[in-house]
Amino acid sequence: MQLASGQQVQAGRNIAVQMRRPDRLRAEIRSTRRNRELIYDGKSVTLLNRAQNFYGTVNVPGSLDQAMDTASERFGIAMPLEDFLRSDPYKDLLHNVTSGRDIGPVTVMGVACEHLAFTQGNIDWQVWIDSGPIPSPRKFVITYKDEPGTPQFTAIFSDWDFTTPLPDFVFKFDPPPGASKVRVKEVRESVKPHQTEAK
Amino acid sequence: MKTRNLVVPVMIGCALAVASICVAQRNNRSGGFAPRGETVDRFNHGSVRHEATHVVHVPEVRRDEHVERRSNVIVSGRRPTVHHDVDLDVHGRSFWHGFVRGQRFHSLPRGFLSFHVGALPYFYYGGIFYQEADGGYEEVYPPVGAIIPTTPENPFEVIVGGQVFYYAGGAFYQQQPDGSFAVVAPPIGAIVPELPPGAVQVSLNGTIAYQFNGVYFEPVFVSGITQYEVVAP
Repeated sequence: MQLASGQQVQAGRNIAVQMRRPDRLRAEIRSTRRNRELIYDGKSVTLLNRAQNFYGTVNVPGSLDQAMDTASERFGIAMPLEDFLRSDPYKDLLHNVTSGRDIGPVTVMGVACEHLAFTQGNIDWQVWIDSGPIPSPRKFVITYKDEPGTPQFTAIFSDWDFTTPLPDFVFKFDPPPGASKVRVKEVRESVKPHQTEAK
Repeated sequence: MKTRNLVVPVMIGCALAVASICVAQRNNRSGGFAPRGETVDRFNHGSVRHEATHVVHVPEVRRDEHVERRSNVIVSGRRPTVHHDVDLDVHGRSFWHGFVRGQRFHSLPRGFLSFHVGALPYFYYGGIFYQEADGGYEEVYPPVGAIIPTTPENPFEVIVGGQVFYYAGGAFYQQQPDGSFAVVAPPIGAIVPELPPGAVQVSLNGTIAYQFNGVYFEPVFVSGITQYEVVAP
């Protein structure tokens, strides 16, 4: 990101994702002072701001794909790396790609990978795919070409686990003690001329 | 035939992503208002599918001719973009972040302004208003009607009903036809990224809210993160 002085600095965070297809997700996004969670139990999406102990819930039934679409279209909710949670990541990722190339074999955190690079409208993106039996992504970079200083997003996938069973309770939201329920604004609503909501 | 998505219990657990994110801060320092192309905010970096859709379109602000021509006043507002999950305080602290109602001083900061609002004398510096008290000066809530030549440093630009407000130190400012800025009543529906300094937690109709100078700020999730909306009591 760019400081007011114009200097570029990096900010980091950790994301832990638990997913069970087709319709369960729990994601925790953590940095030193912030912590938010997003939970989808197949019926509703709950957002939890753990640092301030606020949570909000919206009903978005359907598959995870449908829930993600509704969450972003109506509520402006988008998660970093959500491309990889789609039911067909390949199709979705390549949807707007205008060109792509195979850069060749590269090792990422000790894992042999194939480095692929793509370009499309506002961004360039690269992905490093595990060359082993499970072709999981190991690294992911997006370059925002249309923003000042062409900032980059970099993710290292550090711990894939395809075997641990994830029972329902993992995806059940119980408000932490003392948590306050707050409203989740619709995106369109927040840019409309002002309106007061019914209590 | 079973479709893979529905039946095979594909469980992806614990993808721990150590992601470093880069968020471009709006840096509207060129003077005047942002051109139309910049009325776009993006704060959801990190997904290809939101390459184009993660922009928030803010309604274009219609400006009067005489406001347009007055180019000597520099407005360095920034949209109330909240950096998702970012620890770094990229905005830094402005002087007005230090507002503590009732805090007293023997003297005023160098370069203060003095004026009257109604019949009452006020002093002002850097987004904080003062009144005389016990031979010194104390910090007071921003008085509606006060007029200052330019906004405090680094105000948040907030658009409500197509009108542009600048939010800093708990006060909402609106630009006047002569280019100065007036403290106005907080517009209901304004959504701001941070609470006024010293806002107090209260319960409003059973909902958590924060009060500052009689104005209520209710926490809401906007685009997945917590912001604060000015609500009617």
